[in-house]
Amino acid sequence: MKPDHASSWETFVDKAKKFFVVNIKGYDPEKLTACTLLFEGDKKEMESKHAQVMEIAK
Amino acid sequence: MDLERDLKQYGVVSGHEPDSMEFSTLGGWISTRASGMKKNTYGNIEDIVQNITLVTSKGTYNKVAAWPRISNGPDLNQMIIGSEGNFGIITEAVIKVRPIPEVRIFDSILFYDWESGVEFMRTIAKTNLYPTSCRLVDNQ
Repeated sequence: MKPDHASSWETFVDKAKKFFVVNIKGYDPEKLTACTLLFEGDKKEMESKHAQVMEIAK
Repeated sequence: MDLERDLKQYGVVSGHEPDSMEFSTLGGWISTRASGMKKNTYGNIEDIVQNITLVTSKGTYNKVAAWPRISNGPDLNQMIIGSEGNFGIITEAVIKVRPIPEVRIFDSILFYDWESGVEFMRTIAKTNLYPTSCRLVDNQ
């Protein structure tokens, strides 16, 4: 599911991204899984939590 | 969405954000015991709602005072939340609000497969980090 593109440049950038993920990084489009994250609140606290979560993801 | 737009004028948010946000209402959220994707920070609807006015065939129900909680008997709001119209019609509600957050940090992580995503989610669940929203999606 993807929103429509405003310009052909965006379409090109999107194709390049897909090429990078699938052909260079070796992700299988049938298997790849994304985790979306949001941190809302106090700036310092959320920056720290964000950093800790990204560290766990490594 | 109208609710958040109007609350914004007072510098506050409710933080309740179900997927149906564009076309659902506060009364509907209460009736269906709704959850939202930001519940880790703001709570589910039962945590957000403090008082409810319910019009029934026998009269109108609401709590005398909208205390967040009281150590005195069962909480009858809990019977109304999720009752899907069985006991009456919800006409008013008092809800908790919070100041507009100082920051909103969005990010995403790509995993090679669902299993490693689940393993990551489980690791996060065992910490006390509680991202406001943390969701796992695949192409299936």
